[in-house]
Amino acid sequence: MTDPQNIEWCKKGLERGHAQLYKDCAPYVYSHIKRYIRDIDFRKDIMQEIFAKVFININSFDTEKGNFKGWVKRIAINECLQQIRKKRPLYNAQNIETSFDVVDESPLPTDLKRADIDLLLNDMPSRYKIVFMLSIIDNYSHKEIGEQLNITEATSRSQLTRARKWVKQYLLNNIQKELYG
Amino acid sequence: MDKFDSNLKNGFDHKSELPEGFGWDDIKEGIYEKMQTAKPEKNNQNWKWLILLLLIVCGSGTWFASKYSNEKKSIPNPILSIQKDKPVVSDNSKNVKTINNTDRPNNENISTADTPSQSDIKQQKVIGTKKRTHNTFNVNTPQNTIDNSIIESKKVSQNELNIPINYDNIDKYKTTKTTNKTSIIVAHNPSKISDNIDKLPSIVLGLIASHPSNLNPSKAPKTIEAIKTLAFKKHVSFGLAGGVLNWTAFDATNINHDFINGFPGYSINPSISLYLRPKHALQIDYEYGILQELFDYEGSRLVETAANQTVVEVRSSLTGNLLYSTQEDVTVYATRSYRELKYNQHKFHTLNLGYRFDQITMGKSSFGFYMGASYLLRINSKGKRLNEQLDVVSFDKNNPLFKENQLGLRLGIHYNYQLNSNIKIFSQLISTKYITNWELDDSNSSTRPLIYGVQIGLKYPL
Repeated sequence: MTDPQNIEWCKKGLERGHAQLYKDCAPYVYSHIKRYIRDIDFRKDIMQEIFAKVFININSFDTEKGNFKGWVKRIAINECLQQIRKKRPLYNAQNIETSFDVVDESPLPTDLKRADIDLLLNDMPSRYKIVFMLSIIDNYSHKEIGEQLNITEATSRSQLTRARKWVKQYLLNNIQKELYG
Repeated sequence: MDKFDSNLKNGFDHKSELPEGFGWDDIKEGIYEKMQTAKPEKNNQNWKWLILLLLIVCGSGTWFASKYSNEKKSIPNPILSIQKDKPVVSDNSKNVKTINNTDRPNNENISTADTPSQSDIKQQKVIGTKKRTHNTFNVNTPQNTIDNSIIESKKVSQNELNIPINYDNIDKYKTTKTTNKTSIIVAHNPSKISDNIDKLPSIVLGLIASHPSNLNPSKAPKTIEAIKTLAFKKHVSFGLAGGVLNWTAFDATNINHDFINGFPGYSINPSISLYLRPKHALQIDYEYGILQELFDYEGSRLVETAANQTVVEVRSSLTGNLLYSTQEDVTVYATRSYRELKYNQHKFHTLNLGYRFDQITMGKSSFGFYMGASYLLRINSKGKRLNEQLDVVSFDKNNPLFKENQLGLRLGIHYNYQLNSNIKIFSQLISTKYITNWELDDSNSSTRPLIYGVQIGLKYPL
């Protein structure tokens, strides 16, 4: 992801290390920010927060033992979740409707393009989106999601089920629009 | 993971193009600003600081001890000059003999009896009994004289003269310059001072005589402070104090303290001070304390209730007629608002090592300061905290953020009041700034609080 030399420079506080590490990692970090933060103006602030944390805590990162990409990703996601919850609690009364769990195991389409995925996530209700992204994209277990969001594992599972159902319905609607206008 | 999941994941497992305004030059200023407001992690520096601090403390102590020792050896007798070839004492059967006023009562003034042939001698006194240790001293310069007040103080009543020889009593007898010239003989053992001689000079002389090896005619202590130093003996005093304390927990990089406010706790603080020289002491003290904080947070949480095979009916809102009925496994979701209001407690032991200096003395009062190093062992914590995601979590010894061992720098100012010859009452303002992290999280962020408090207590010399 980045040259170990850059990490060493960052540990010494050299700006050239900061600059190079930023150039190497910023696109990857931004891809995570974009998924979690809708407000485009707010993304820059979060980007700065994340890299400030990376530079401050880089001394605690062991280049021989740790996976730098995973370490940066963890900081990025944690920061995004923290900022989301600071701005607006994830789960409040207005966002939660009483619903029935319907088990639907039918497969989802597999030929989605990147642009379709971006649109899909952009339109996905936030109450599903966080669990969906943490589980499907960031490989968090339901236990980890529960710990991160202070919900039970069962809630995480049911949210994911509903998210998948929503995705299916969303894709179906889009196909119908394309077919029938 | 099915193909859809895999497709999604792969779709995101690459870099996004950065929009405009996200270049390094555009963003670095904001990053550095945020770095400055955050607390940098310097765990690896902590031990260096502690070692440096301990070296300073130990070095200071050693320096004071050695300085005290050197002064003992080098402080000369300014008042006296030795005339070894002119023994004055011939009769050692008595402890004290006054040559000009042999049988004079104790409370009688000393006559100065100047004679031209003895122009450099106003009076002679013999103190002590050890024949081979007799020394004769001449006071022959204005600055090397025992002042008039010492001589005149012979008028002081016997009760006052019976004041034991100690550091504090010397203040009562001040020296001033005089042209009088006095020759005095001093024996080594001041404890054998006769009742027949005025005791007041013997206090000073006795103190000087108690350091006969220090007598050096070429140098002179010019102030009462030097005599005090001669009179001073290393000693230990025990103190016991108690009081209230509070703390400020600064925001860590990603630990949220927005909903925590310090709340007065309390502590008890026994201490031992080793006075190596007047006003200077090495102090070691133990403190048991309870820090408190008020956690006040309002939030909401998702509540999930599952019911198996529940009958669900849909009715028309207008007619009330049953439109649809089924029996399903139902999960009902709702949010519950709540307020967490807790008094958190942190119990700890502290061991402090530092330097104590009683700077200003005014009568029975004195002021001073303290500086040192502090090691704190947290026994346990009890209460609630917000974690990084603003979730309310229990905070105790089992919490992964809990950290037991802490190191800090301790500063304080104190006021002492001498109640009687032994006991001092004192009050002190103490603050400890911790240089190690009190909490840790995944990214090793930290908080380093400042603890401050006020204590009152008693001090007793051992």
